[in-house]
Amino acid sequence: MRAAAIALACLLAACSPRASQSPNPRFRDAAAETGLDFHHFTGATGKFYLPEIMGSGVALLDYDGDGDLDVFFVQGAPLEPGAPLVFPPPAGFKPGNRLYRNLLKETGKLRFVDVTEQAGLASTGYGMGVAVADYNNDGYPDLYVTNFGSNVLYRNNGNGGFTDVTSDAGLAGGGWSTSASWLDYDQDGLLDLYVARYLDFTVRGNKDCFTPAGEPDYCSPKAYKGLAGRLYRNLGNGKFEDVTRKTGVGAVAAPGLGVRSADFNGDGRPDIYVANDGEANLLWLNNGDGTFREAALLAGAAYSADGVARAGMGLAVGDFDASGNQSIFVTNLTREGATLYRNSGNAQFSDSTMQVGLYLPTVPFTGFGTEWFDYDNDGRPDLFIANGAVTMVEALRGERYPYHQRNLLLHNEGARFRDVSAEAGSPFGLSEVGRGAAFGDIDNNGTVDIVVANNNGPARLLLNETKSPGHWLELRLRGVKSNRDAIGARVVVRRSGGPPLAAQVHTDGSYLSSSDPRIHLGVGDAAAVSIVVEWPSGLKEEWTNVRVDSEIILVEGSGRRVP
Amino acid sequence: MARHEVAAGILSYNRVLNRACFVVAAAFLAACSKPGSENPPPIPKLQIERFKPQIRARLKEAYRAALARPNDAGANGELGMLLHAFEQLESAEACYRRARAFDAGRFDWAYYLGLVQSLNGENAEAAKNLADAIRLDPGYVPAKIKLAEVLLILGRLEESRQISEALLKDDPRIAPAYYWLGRAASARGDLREAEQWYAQACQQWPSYGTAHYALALAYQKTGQSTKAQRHMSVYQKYQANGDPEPEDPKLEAVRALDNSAIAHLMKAADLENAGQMRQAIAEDEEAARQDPKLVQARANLISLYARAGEPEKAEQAYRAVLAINPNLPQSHYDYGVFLVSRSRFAEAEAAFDKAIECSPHYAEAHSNLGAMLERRGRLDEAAREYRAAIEDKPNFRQAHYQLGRLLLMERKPAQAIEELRQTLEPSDEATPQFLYALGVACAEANDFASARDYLRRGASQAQALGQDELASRIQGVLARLEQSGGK
Repeated sequence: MRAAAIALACLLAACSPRASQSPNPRFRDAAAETGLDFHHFTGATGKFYLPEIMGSGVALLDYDGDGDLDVFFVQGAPLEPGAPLVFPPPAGFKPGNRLYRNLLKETGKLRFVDVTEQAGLASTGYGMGVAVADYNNDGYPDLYVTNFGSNVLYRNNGNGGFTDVTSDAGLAGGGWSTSASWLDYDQDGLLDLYVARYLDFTVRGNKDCFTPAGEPDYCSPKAYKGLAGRLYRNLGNGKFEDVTRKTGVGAVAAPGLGVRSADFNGDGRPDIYVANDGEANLLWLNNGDGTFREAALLAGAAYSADGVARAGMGLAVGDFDASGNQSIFVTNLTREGATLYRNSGNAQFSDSTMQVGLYLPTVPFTGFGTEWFDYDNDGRPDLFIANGAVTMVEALRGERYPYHQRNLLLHNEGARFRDVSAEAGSPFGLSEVGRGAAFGDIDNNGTVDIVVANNNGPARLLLNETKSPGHWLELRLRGVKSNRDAIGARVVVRRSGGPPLAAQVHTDGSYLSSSDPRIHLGVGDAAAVSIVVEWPSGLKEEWTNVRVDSEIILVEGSGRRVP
Repeated sequence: MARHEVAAGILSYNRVLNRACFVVAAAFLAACSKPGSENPPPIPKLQIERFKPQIRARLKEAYRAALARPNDAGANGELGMLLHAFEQLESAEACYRRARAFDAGRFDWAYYLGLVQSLNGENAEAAKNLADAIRLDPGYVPAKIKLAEVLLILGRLEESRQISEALLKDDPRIAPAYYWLGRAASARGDLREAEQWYAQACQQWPSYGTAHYALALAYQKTGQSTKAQRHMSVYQKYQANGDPEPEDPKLEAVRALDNSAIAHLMKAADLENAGQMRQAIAEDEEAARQDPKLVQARANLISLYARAGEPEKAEQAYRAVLAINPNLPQSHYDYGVFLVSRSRFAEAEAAFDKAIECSPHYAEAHSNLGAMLERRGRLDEAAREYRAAIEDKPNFRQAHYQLGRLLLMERKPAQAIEELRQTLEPSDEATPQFLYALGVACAEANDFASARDYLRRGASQAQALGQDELASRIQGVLARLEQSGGK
């Protein structure tokens, strides 16, 4: 009887349209038509200051709580005020970071308006990245902006405005900060903050660097000293304590660019993974006693298979192979190829890049923003990579800004990935200098869209218009004892016709960017699913017979407790 | 250079004489490709206006030759080699393809084309051309090793395995062949087999860091963590610097074309890392001679001359750097270290100050500035500098030690202990001194049991490391501790 059931399941799987072919991906750039007119400004003066080529990031957040995703872009600034600019900003340019409010809920139409000034977010620092979370558990997402220079924490006032509380919070940091990650490392219900830092670069101490043929170009990170990342503990009174030393995470100074927290070894505690540029990546495993231990080397997640440090930039962490484990995808430099560290459980990783077909499509590009996301809702996380070089592309020599490259969309076909960029629509034909990328269902239609922050160019809104028969689910988790955003909560969705899907609530990862905190899962054919949530507080709850194709809010304590 | 030294006297890969055992897979691959059958691409247009004049002149000459003799394989190939040398790989590929089209029977063009295609990520084409190259010169080992690697990247594990096995049949000492066999086994998921191949690679070439790394991870995944740790330590010692590098005169011929200032600068860095100061100086001097504004070459010379006992030249190099770029933090720092060695402490203090002005998070400069301030009795400022160093580099043991010492002098043993405890990992030749300081701090804090423990450990480690004077000093403190009745 059981054998017959298995055979029937196999037959059904074989007949499923998604088993034999997936729908054509279809993305459309809707930035201009929706009013998302952000244009990144590098401040370049021809001196090849390194920060110019590294930024910047973008965040998706529902800052006004109206049920749609707003967009926050991080902006550059002049590094040498008064010096002639190589790329003057376009007409109508407004300096500083920009917040665009999404009018979808109130008008029914996807449209953005720039509300930066009203929101009190105008800043003129040299912006790099952004991390979003409700650090004070008041129900409104707050913004942490990383800079080349002091960072800024903006507390969301809940009335459409923000207040700069950096000084009170003690989060200014210093040096050159890049990606940041909100996590509750000590599981006290308050979100703490890890800030990756890059290099001890100063404009004054700028070095002249050259291509092998002697042309001036941006330096390799090896020209400067790497900086240790910083960890700040949320004390719950609006203040944070710098626990970098105390926790041990400052023990390695390296050029950090990407960061993602997740439970990599399945012990229920959030760990931290940092992608370093040209040095070993770091895996800080949480000891559960307020300290971390660095374990990347023997875990197989520090280097590529050949034992060489790659130029780690962006990060995607997720259960791409339905194993229940959090694997890590790191974007690297042109000619290095990206690296997929497949987690076989208990934080043991194998460089599986070649085996799953991710080396050859990625090797021509320098990758930055990236994320696992199921664009066609077939139940298998796919990959997007925003690409753009950091040193001159040979074929582009003679152009004014010879760093542009195409972005990549890679479809997860089970055992291997397939490059579907060429068939994914006109945005994938664009060649730009991609950096940050944030992911979320911006038009609330059940598919994940992408906002790409280009360096020295216009932002792009890649609306996902893939016609997929697959069902989906968007989960918004609300912590009660846990942090209100439930960051770090582990979700397992059980469905018929496919393996369980596992995910963790996060906004971090990618590159300098912050994504939709909702968990989006394609569930394929399943019409109803059961959901198990392990909250950061330790509570484990189940919701059964949940209908798909909708957004579900799960509140801690409202489900059925499970052991 | 370090790689060649490791290789010396152990093994030479060049031109394995036994060609009888030809690689079946390579022959098959070669049969599938049709060298010279495709239309050659046009001679690439070169945009070299911003290249360094010397490089530009050489490229122009080669370019003119190729334009004058567009169907001449040699002219096209030589232009390709020059472009290859300066990492203009896409243009180089076009030139090599032309050279191949006009002379399909020459090994060089097939080999070079395969190499640049592999670098450009065009591995399927690279495999074809490398296989062709092997068909043209079956004895050229580096081509076979490269082909094994490229086939592995393409997921053609069986073909990769065949190439490596054939290599070993010709010469069982070829360590990279064992390594690639391990990689192929690992890609198939057979970690036990992979372990065996990696172990043989390490046995053949004990400083093969890359193989030790792979072996360590294979052991770790099969639960043999002690072995894993051991091989990871070897990897950390050598990294890829001790890997076997088959003699590759063809590739060397390309590399030798880059005689630019930057090439000399890079060579100098390799030599310095290998401890060959005199040769490093010569290379940096040549770089500076070729390009007087190449500030990095002159900056490197400050420290090199200082270490070579040539203070006047170190001074000159520093002044030359200042004339080009007065804001290079490393040059101020190196000059400061040099001045300390000459007991010119006030000037050294100013140099470290300048380094920090240019690079505010320069931990080593902060620490050294602290030491200078401490010498002058400005203890509060010194402590602030040590703390700044630790802030920037939390595992900076020397700064913890300096600060701990300072706090001890200020009769703050509890705070001193906190700092000095940070110095104990990793254990190395500096550890006995740190243990000594920690022991004294514990004694000051009336924690005599800990004091004894740290001092004993310090004495014993100092003895083991041959630091007899330090060992004797620690023993003296221990004896006094016992006499004073410390419990």
